Amino acid sequence: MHIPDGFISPKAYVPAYVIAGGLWIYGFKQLKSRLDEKTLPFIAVITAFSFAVSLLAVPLPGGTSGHPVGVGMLSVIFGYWIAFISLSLVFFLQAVLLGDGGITTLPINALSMGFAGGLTAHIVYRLTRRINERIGLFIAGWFSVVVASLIVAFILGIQPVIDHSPDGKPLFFPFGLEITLPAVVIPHTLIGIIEGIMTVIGVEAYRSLKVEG
Amino acid sequence: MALRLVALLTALLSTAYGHGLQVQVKQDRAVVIHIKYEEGQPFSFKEYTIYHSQEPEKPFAVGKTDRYGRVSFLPDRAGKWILKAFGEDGHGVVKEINIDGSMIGTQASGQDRLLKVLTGVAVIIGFFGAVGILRKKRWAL
Repeated sequence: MHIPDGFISPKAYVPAYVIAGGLWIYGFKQLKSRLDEKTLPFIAVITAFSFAVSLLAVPLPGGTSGHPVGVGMLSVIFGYWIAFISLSLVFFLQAVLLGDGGITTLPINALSMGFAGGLTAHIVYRLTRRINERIGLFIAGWFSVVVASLIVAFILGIQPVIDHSPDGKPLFFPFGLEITLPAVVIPHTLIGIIEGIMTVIGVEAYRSLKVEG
Repeated sequence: MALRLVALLTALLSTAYGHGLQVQVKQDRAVVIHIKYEEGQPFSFKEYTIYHSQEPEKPFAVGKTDRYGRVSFLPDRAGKWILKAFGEDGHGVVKEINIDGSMIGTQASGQDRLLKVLTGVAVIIGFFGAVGILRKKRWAL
């Protein structure tokens, strides 16, 4: 789901940088205020885990592939601000070290998967945990990925409209919403299942370690 | 009448000749780029555009990758060429291809992926460690 450099018009990524910049400043303050000596190692390890797990490409029907992000787990355990900062760091490192994603597209990847995904997981978990804790965690993980994929599909799909040559030829990404929405979102309904399971296992493992600690 | 008929026939034939294509099959040396997903599946039948970096608005080649996720093209000059390949789901690459004077593509050898992953993990641990140090005074109080 990481959008690479060259696919997004400056008309989209410049405003995204402005929005993400403000959220990064606020989020970093939140990170500093919420950290304590006990949670810090866990945040570092789970962020590193998220970095590693994002590199595991899961083959999907249609010849494409996808991967879980770990945003549900990070958001439920530490809150969506910490999830946003942690995943922004992950996406930055993936872009500069591995060429996955991009620098111009960093704010879009961070806002869609890190912020919107994290906020979705937080809200959905709060709404559903009373029904059943595990089901709430699973649904939170599933929705975090699917909502993020909806935003990514939307941003990709509007590129031919917002930036094109005088004769109407797209200058960046060539496919419209009618193609990107099903192409991005449908595979992520399957990836969401993996993200949901990972959220259940990750949160429960953290809670058991935290209690034992 | 007969003369008009001959003239009309000649005009039709010349038009048909004008629409004809000459096909020449010969061997040549092309630059071939292989694109695949991380798990090894080929990036098959995806759209691509190739252009010279000095003429970004003027595509040199457009098409679709083949079954094995390959793009091949014959550059007409040296310099930096850009390949953009798109999947409908947002997967894709923007790849710089340097063509030297002998029209051969070159690229810098990349670091080992595992080493890069370990570097990333180390940076993450270091980042949170640094934040922890910044916060240490407050914890100490």
